[in-house]
Amino acid sequence: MSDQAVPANEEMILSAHEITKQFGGLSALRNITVDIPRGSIFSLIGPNGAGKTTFFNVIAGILPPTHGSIDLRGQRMIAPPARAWLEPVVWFVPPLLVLALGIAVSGGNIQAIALWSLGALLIATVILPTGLARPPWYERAIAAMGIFRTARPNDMVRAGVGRTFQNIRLFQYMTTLENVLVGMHLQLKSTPVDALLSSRKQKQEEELARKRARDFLRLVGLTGRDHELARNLPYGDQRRLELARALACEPALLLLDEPTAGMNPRETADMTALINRLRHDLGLTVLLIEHDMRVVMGISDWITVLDHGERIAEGTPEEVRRNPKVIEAYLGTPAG
Amino acid sequence: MTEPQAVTSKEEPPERAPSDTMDRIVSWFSRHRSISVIVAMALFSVLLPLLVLLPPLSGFNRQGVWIDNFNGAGIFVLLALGLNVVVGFSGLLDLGYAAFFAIGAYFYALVASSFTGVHLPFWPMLILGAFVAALFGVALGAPTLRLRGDYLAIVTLGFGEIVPVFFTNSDALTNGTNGIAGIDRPSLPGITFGAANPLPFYVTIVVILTIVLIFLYRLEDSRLGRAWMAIREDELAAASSGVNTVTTKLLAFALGASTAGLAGVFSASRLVFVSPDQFLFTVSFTVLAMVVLGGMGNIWGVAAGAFIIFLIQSVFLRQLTNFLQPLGIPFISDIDFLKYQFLIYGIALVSMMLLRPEGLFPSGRRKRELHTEGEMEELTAPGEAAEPLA
Repeated sequence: MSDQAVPANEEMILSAHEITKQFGGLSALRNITVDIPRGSIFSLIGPNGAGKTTFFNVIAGILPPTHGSIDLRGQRMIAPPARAWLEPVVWFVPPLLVLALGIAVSGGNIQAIALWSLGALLIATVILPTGLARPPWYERAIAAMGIFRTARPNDMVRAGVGRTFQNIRLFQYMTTLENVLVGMHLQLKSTPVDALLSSRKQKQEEELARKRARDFLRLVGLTGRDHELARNLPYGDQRRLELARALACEPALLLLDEPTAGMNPRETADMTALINRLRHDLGLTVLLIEHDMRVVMGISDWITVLDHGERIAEGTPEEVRRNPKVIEAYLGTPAG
Repeated sequence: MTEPQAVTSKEEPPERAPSDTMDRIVSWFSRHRSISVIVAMALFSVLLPLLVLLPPLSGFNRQGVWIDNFNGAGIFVLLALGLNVVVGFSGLLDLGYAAFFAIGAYFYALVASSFTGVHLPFWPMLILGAFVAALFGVALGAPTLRLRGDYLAIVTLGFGEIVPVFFTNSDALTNGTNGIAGIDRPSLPGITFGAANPLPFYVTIVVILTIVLIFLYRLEDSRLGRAWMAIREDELAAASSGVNTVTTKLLAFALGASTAGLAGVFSASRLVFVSPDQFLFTVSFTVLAMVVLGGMGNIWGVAAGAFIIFLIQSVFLRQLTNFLQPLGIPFISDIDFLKYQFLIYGIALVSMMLLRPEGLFPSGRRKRELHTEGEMEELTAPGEAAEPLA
């Protein structure tokens, strides 16, 4: 990439605007604004406790930010809720209407009122769980009423964000293949009814899914171990499996939280090559947290440096390497 | 350090083992699981009534009484299978499961008995009862979505207490503590369902169980089954893989409850009577003990565990008492083992947790979960255990 600053007109896959996250009195993030251009490898570095993982968790929809907003491909995903009071109204008005109607028309007949209130209860038991589960059609419906609710982790996955965790979080007692299949959850369309009836659609989809899951495993270099439990894999392979699971979400933006932590130099080199390949072959955008400076300097297009929850520097690897503030943050003393 | 490819190719046996007829049969059945379930259930359900004609079992009860006992066992197998979805698959500890059993039973009592004067047919009500119980499952699940482990257990325990208390106290609706009698038996042209003729009930419960077993096996292997397991393993990682944890948990509660609803409708029509004391905490506890002792998460194990435990408590403990009493052995002959049923449960559960925490018939997964690294090497196949890379 050219060493000029990220051009403003280039399409941004993710724009985080003035993100602040406070835990009680502690500000883990203060006014972080970051724009990630499509197709780049964008790194987030900083000393321990700088707020990198907090920032990841905010982007992934796990931690709601105290202030600020996040747009993904131009769509507002994470922000303070708007017109939130309206949603309970939407939930409770239909059953209450039915109840009122019942009382009005039944003219004091206790049995008729009981029947109507049963109907109202039935409507409530359908609407309330729907409101809690928030399926996409429901989200669209309440968005049309001007209600905005911040995205949950699974909404971010649906919108195209896949992630790995700093401390590996695999489904330990599921097999390698099953782990990837869970990652493909949103790609699979068959319903529980399809599963119950073992429909043709279900069978074909399952077969295809297994094939595709093996492709993801091959991509990260884990072939022939489909039925091994995730927890029995060596550490480096667990990291690879987590990456395969994240890729199975078919993300446009991949969040990698220290993907080479605990790896030996050989494995680190493999992982670096793999990340590069993901960008070039699959066209993914990668947001990377990494402590290994050789990795960061080697593959990043752009680096943002955090310290104590604030952005202290940004630029190309060359610029960041020479930035005195960065050197100070890492070494604690001005460079001599 | 070798290439990943080189490592993996070493593990895959290049040549297929020569398959004899037995192997071929086994692999055919493992590929056609629904047919296997049907065949196994058919064999088992035909052999069972014949087996009790042989001594010593024939000495305990007449065949009719045995079959009636099997019907009771079938209800608990159904309950255990349903609870296994919630506790075994999804890892949500539910201590109030009897509430859904009660809801199914009372639902049928209200729509098909002389108490209300409504007489709706059994077969559609069986399905509707399951549906009503599922709605209540969702209603219980919705407020407990954020809870896990102990906290969830306490809320479900409360729900399990509220439901029988509600049925006890709403006299006008449910006839209070006296319960509802005169519930309709199922009817089919040419077949009499009755207390003197337990065989039609037996066939009914076997068919219900077969269908439920097939459905559960299919669900376990589906997208939903994997999502349940993922939530049990790591809820945050599941959500970060795109699993909607709310929908998934609610479906677990709904499916577990609907199975209990089936059991409730069947039980009400079999006993032609419901009362609140049929659905106390001891039922929830018994079913949970069946799931744990049978082997949490393993469909067959849970079913077999429930069947065996029910027979032990309802047949063999009584037989043991009857057998020991005339022998005149001091102290032991005076024990009424039925009274000590829960003591025996307690001892069985404690020794199980200490000696074999995965249950009598564990799923492979659970077995691996509950044994430590050192023990694992004995359990895994030699090829798996010999893993030099770390």
